[in-house]
Amino acid sequence: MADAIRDRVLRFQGSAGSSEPFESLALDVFAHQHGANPAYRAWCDGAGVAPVTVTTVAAIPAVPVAAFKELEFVCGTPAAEFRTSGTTGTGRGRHFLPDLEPYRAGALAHFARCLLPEGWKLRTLVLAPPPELRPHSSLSRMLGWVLEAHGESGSGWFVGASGLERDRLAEALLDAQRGSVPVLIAATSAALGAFLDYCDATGLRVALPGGSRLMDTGGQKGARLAAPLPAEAFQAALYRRVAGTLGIPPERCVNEYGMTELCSQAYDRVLAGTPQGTLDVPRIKLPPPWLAVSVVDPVTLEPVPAGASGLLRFVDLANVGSVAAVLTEDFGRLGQDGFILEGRPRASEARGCGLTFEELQAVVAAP
Amino acid sequence: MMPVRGYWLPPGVEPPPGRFATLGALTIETPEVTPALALSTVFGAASGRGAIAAMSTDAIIRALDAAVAAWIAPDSEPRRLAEEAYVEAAGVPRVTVPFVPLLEACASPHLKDWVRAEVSPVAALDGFVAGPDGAMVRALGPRLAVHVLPGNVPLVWLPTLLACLVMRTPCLLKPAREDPLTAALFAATVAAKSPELGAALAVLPWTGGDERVEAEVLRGAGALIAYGDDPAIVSLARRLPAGVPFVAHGPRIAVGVVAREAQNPGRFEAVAAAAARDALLYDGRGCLSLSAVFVERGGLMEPGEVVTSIAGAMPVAATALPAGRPDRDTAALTQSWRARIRARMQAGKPSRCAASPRGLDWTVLYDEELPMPAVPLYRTVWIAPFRDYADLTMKTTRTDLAVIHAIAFAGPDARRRELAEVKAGAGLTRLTDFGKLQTPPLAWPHGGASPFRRLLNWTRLESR
Repeated sequence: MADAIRDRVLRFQGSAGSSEPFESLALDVFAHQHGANPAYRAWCDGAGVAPVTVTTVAAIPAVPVAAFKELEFVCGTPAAEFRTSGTTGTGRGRHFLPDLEPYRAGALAHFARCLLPEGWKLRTLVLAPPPELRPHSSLSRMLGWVLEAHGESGSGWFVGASGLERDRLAEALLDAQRGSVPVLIAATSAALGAFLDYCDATGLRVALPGGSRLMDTGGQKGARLAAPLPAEAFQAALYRRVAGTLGIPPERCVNEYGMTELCSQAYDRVLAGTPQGTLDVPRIKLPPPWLAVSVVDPVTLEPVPAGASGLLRFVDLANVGSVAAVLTEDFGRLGQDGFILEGRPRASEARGCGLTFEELQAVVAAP
Repeated sequence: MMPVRGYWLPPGVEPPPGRFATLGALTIETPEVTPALALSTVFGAASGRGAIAAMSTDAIIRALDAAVAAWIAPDSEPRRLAEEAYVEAAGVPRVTVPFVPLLEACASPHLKDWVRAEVSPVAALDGFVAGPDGAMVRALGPRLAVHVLPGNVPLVWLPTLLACLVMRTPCLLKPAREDPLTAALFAATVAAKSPELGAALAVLPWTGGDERVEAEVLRGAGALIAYGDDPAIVSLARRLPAGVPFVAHGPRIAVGVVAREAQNPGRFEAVAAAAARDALLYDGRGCLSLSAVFVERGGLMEPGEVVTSIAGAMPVAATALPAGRPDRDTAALTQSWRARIRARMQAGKPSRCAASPRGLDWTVLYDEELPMPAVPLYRTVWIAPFRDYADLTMKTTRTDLAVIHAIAFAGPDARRRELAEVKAGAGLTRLTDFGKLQTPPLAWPHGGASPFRRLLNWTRLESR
């Protein structure tokens, strides 16, 4: 049963969602998880939901991300454990997976669609710690796969045991400029911000060749701001700095939305192409075909009217080995072909992969 | 229905063209607030100081008492309108946000008693009089107080406004979006009782963060009084000219403490009912709303029984005080904590979550290990055990937690006194009974000191 449902998910991913209807596969994934995932079954029991009553994707009980701090939602024996970052000491979410292949296959396919739609390989400079330094970081793991699959020679990690390797990164960027080699910078927003600060302090300006692009993730988590900005304003300000400092225009900057509890990611659809061929304002995040997104009212947890804001709720088939339906603490609304991210509740914990750089800096700075 | 003015301007300030907005059955008129209007309003209100300085303190208190009494009257039309606007704008049922208890706290003779208790010699408010050592003294407030009003609970700002007028300080009030009429209608009532006091008041609903308008406001301010931690207020305070007093009523929370002696099975229900009311009155949004209850171990009841008792009282209180419409951030955080505690229950941790079956009408969360949430949740009581007051202090002293400024207590007097001694230096300004938490007396030193102590300037005239 586990292999059969996993294989169906892999086929669905490999066919870009055309192998069978999403809904029937999602319901079968739910039935499988209810049977094979004791923590999820108990969660459903607590909510008074049995598989027989679940006939639509919307009816699949979603596990709030807060519950990942306390329970091990896994089907079978875990082969990998990923942990959320966080700074408040009130616990970290943990995501256990019995098998990484649906995660890897989905991550690579959607990354290629949204970051490398030309089918290119690019020299990839990663501003995040490698998996050896952060074995429980899902972001590090994903970027490792990206490097292996899509990285050209000269690719590498630029956050090491002693933090962000600014001088080495500056040299790599200047080398790309000199050789007219387009690069892909994959960065947590915090690491990117730190490097841009370095550029400002040293006067470094790089004009990266056309075709270069940026993938950033993490938003304001770890950013040293006097007060939080609206998500869109933060992103716009960051991309202005990137354009001015590195020569990558905003239409080649792609923000990633991902979280430890989800194996799938969504990306700004700037490179994947908008229907109008123009930049979305506000930016729309494009999910892969195996990630269904909906929006629920934070008071009732019921679906909101079309176009209204609320909490983002996902059904991620790449989570076939854990729990597919996840309720986030992120606000957003649906947009054409995707969703618009609005941010996190004020006063909620800073968490998410953007902190992996900040955490590392804290460790490095500790006596 | 005739439009209701959501502003109040001092005499001589030309009413600008109004904009009209519909709020439920009401039509509210507000001006377009330009820097020029702000400047003339500031100047106009400040000009009212001479007239109120010439009034006697008794006359001022009589006029203010009359205004408060007019609003307490069962058929008070301005109060009805203000409540209606508040209910519509804040999205809270009327019964949940009663205005009258807050007005009654300010009713005669409380204002007079408060002034006499706070200002000595009280005649110094009227002019130079002999002080304790024989030197002549005079007490006068700032030339103009700018009040940035809160929207979470109506009328919490009223004591400070009354105090300012007694101090002969003209006032410019910026109403909150959730409370668009109360300030303007109350100013009109004051003006009806005393044109001089009315001429020293202004209510101007400018948009927070409009730096051109705020530059004019701050230029004339002799004091800034603000509630909450909105970034716009923080920004406003940063631009306040040096030397101008800033009275900030920042984030504060209220909790309950149940001493072991108060844990009497069969008799605890009254405390539980009072706690539930303290949690849900004003939709649980106020700084005096009960957000947590700490239960001392060693009593006749297990902490879990206290949880059961309070959880049993919450649906009753929620029926009497129905839920409003929380802001989405607080709603999301409350859902998150419900999920976390439910997950902990499932994991076998010492936790409990009792909650309304739908929506966020009420929530009781119990956990023996986790620290209480850093911010109060919506209509939620967090319950945790403690061993002794040292343990309680440890559990409630965190850098990420707002200061606990009020405590509802159940237990014998000696333990109550002991607790007050423990918490007095840690920001506690009030220790009272369950059931009284949300109806503070006028004499309560909100923020740690009365406005008289914070704002009165004493001048000493020494003889040659």
